[in-house]
Amino acid sequence: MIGQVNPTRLRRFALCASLWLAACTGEPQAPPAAGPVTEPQRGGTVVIGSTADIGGVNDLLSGTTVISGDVLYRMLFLHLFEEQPDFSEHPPSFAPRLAESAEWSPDHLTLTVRLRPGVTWSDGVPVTADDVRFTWQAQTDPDIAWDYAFAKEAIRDVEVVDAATVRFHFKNAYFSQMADLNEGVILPKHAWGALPFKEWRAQPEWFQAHLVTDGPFVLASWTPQQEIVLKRNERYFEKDLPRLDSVVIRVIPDRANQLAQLRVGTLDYVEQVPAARAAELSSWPNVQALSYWTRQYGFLEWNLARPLFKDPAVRRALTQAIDRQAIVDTLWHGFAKVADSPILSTFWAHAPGLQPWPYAPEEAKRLLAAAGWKDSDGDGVVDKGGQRFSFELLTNAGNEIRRDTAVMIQEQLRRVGVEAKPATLETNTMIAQLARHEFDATILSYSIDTSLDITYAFHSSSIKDSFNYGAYSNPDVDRLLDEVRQQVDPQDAKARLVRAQQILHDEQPYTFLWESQRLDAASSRLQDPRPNALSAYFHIREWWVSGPR
Amino acid sequence: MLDRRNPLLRAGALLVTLLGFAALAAPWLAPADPAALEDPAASSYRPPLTRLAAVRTVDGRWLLADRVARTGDQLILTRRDETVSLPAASVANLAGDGVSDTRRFVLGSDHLGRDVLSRVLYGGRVSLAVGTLALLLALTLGVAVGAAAGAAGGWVDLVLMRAVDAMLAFPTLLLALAAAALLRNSLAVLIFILGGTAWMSVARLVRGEVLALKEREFVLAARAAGVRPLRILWRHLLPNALTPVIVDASLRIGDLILVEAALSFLGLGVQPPTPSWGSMIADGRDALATAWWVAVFPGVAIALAVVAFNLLGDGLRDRYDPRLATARR
Amino acid sequence: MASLSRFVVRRAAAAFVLLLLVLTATFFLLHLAPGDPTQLLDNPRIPPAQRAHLREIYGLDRPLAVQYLSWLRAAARGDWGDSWVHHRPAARVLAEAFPATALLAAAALPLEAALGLALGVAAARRRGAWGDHVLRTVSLVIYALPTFWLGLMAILAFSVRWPIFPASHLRSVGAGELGPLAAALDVARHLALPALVLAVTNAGGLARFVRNSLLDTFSQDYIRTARAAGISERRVVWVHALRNTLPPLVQVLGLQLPLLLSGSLVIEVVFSWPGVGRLAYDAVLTRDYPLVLAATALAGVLVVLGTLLADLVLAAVDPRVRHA
Repeated sequence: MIGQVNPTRLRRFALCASLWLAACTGEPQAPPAAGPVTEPQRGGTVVIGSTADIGGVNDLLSGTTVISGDVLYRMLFLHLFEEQPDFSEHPPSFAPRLAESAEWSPDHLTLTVRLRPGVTWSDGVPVTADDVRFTWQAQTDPDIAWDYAFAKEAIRDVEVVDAATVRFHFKNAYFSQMADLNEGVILPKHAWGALPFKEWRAQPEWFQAHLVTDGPFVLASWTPQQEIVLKRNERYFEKDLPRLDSVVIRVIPDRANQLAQLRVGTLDYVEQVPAARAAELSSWPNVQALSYWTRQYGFLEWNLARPLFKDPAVRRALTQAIDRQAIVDTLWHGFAKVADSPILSTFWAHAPGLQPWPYAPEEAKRLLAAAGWKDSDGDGVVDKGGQRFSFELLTNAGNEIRRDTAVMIQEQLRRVGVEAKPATLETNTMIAQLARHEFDATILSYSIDTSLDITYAFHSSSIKDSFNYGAYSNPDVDRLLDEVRQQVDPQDAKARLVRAQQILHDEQPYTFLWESQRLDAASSRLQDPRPNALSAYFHIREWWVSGPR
Repeated sequence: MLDRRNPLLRAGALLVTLLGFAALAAPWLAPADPAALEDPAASSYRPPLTRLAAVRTVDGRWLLADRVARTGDQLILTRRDETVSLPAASVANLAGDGVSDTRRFVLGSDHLGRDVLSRVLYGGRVSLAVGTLALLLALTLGVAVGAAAGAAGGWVDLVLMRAVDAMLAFPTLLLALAAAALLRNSLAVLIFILGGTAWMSVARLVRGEVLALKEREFVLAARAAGVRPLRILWRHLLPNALTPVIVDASLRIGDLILVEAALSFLGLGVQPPTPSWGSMIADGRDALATAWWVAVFPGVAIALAVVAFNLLGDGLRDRYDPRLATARR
Repeated sequence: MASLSRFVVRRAAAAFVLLLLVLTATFFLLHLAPGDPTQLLDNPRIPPAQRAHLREIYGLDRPLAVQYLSWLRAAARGDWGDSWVHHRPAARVLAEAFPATALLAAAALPLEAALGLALGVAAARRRGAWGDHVLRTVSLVIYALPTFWLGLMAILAFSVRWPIFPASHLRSVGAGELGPLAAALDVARHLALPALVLAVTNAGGLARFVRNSLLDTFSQDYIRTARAAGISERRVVWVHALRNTLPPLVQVLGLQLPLLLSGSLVIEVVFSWPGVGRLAYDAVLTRDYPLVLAATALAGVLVVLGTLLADLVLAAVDPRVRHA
């Protein structure tokens, strides 16, 4: 539990938490827009390419395709606060959105939120505190079984004080209360309260028939598997926004096809262009390239249950035998950098002063030899006690970069006498195998959450049924991660996270490979897109177009 | 057998032999190791007929360059738009003003700098091997089931043929897709799947042949003489039924190669790093506009292989059974 | 005709049994495979309890036999379950995608038939001559080209290099506002490449079959008689020979249906065509069991129907078949 809480620190934190607009948004540069920058214009349509369709209009049922989140969170609905991508110096700040102001109680267990006046749903009904309470009830209902219900565990109750005021009561205080509170958009009670929670999962289509929204856009039409058409919400509360008349999302699973259409002008925005095509993009006259850091990192996970990888010295040797910079250079073409920690260097809690493991094949050989691995039979592969250092390296089908990484690692490890055999499995099959801990090593990538929760990967309680596939277990790390969740002051949390990172760096349960950027491509007529690590469509309500298609 | 009036048979036989030879001799024919990754940054996506100088450093690394020039004790390497200079002392294969090794990319290189020609040759090994083995599986199963059904007749025939029809009701690709996605990927599984989708037509064909032959005089004579049914089947029916089966087989292997390519293209067939024609095309898809050679040459190879086997099959059919018109499935 | 209707009934009954077998096999194949849709929840923070809970909701924690029976009961009622990825009834998801595939097949089939017939007849007429060899080789080459590869080449040529045709979808953006004629033209433009590619690759096989079948017919006595009687070659080919080639031809065209379904799967993936093939492919990869089963049922029905129809035509024309 909390223990001694320093009141001064608490008040300082409370002040930070009620910051209005973010001082610095921490977004990386977007290249200058093509042509002279003129005044933003109103009007126009932007066509976005998406590889997947949305799963529905109800946030609580829609599953986890990324485009679902983008459409529901940035275009159709509103959160209480808008999390800002300014997490490089401190935990992300929250700008008012549906909420106008918020005040913490001195003990930090209660947050009183005042809602912005004048916000209405698309049918004219005002947004009230009842909607907020209703949303919390739906989010935590066991029959609805929302995937992110765990974020609301610490909330004891959501109390309606009056039509424009709602109070959140927490069971305990910790540094990411705001993030958990803000998880999920606010739903319309007057429209969706009509269906009992028990029926929600059984009738997912009901919600589209009874759809009311309060975000910058309204849903004009949804042709499943083909396109989603959104039009400006004339009742949207921010004056003069959104600038676009409409946004069309075309479902095109094939990215190469998307790029071909961008080139001829049928599409205006394509996400996640393969890094290898960056050079080609710059030769297209009507297209701008947008690169920005994401929250993704790639790594090689060793299965510590296998005797080969039990010894941390051996793992350190393997890390030093892998030329991570070469992988980054060859496969990412400059759109990534070598990673050293699951908490990325762009985050406030990244451990400063981590000495990156160098590419040192000679040192790797020495370490292996010191651990008893020598090539006693001259076949080019080191062995010990009759066992060759040979293992299978799994990647999932459909990800070329991870697959090519495996190929490069195979070659690099060969030079120090270690045999890696890359194998590609279909995604679901591979995950099932990892979950059963039936693998030697695998290459994966995760997106770190802004709450910086890494227990799913490194806590010993996550070995069974969660994502700690490699069965890593260190009681110090366990203790540190447990304590992090209870800290109120981010600095206390950071201290523990830094210590945990140092241990992980030393023990190398993962060989961290890269932190990556994303490369999006947009038509030159699209002005001011500013995609960031939270969403490519973060600023979509401010997008504008110059000139016709 | 290879008579003058049958140019197709000659052409087919020749092509198939060449293909088989190329596949078997790939390790010697291929100019480079298809898995070798030498300096991908310099050698990726090179067009056909590119020639690069290969510099070997003393510590065993290879660096590839468009041009190599020697000035005093430095070696200047030009790699695409950048220039790198190395102390000549660190280079192991100096030769006059340059180096003694070159790399030729006859058909260009892929995104990791691997030689396309070598990968096409090795990919051919895999595709042809998978196709051949799958065919053998299909033939074994198909002949067994078809002969049993045709010879036994009655309810054995009924049950077996209903099973065949059930399998045929599955669109091949969907079945192969489902099985490939759901079972652990390996060449063995792939061969099993491909063979499993091809044996039905063979069974039908064999059954038809056996049924037709059953009523022929020599069979009736053997039965009258008291020869046991199994012996009749083995000694008399099968050898005569096999001719159309062999013709069909050589036509069928082309189909198998195409299905394997489609599966690999969809990501469910041969898995990397083993090269396969289908997965090479999938790889080259992204770079179609700028590095067309990565996707085009494997496609040409597939077409060539399928053409070869079909020419052979057509020729065989013309030669041995010109009146046979098999329904293509 | 009594014998015809008996034939139909027998074949339909057999078809039904077939379908049942196919679906059962698919069901067990899917469920015995590793992995299930709850693993697709890609945010690692979602706790295992949630996944277990979802498995309960989807009924994945019940014994396999129980799942099978309940699925069978529902399917018999017409309830094919809700797609887990689309959150809508699987049957409806398929029904929405079906017209696109049907359109593709309907556009490809006549093109394929025309091209295949033209090539096959021309080759048969020139039997043994140089023209025969050339035409046979052409047929063979287009048969040998992988469908997906040709699709990619077509996109490269006609969508990127010379942007004449669009590279994906059924309609352009904003097609809802076009008048009926303009909308039809828009669809036709989008249909052009996928249908052409599908037709061309299948035409090769058809041409080869037509040639062989015709040659078979040509060697028959009545053709020799017709020729001897002085009937023009053109009439001999197109009226007499072709008419007798028709039954096997119809059979083959009926068998084209499964070919078109397989081929369209790949084409739909390459061209992002919103049809059943692409849906089935995605469903298999996302372990969307209800949708895969429904798609397999649909495919099975189509194949069985195709062969049934072909057999019916054959039976109507050739009395010997009815009593087989």
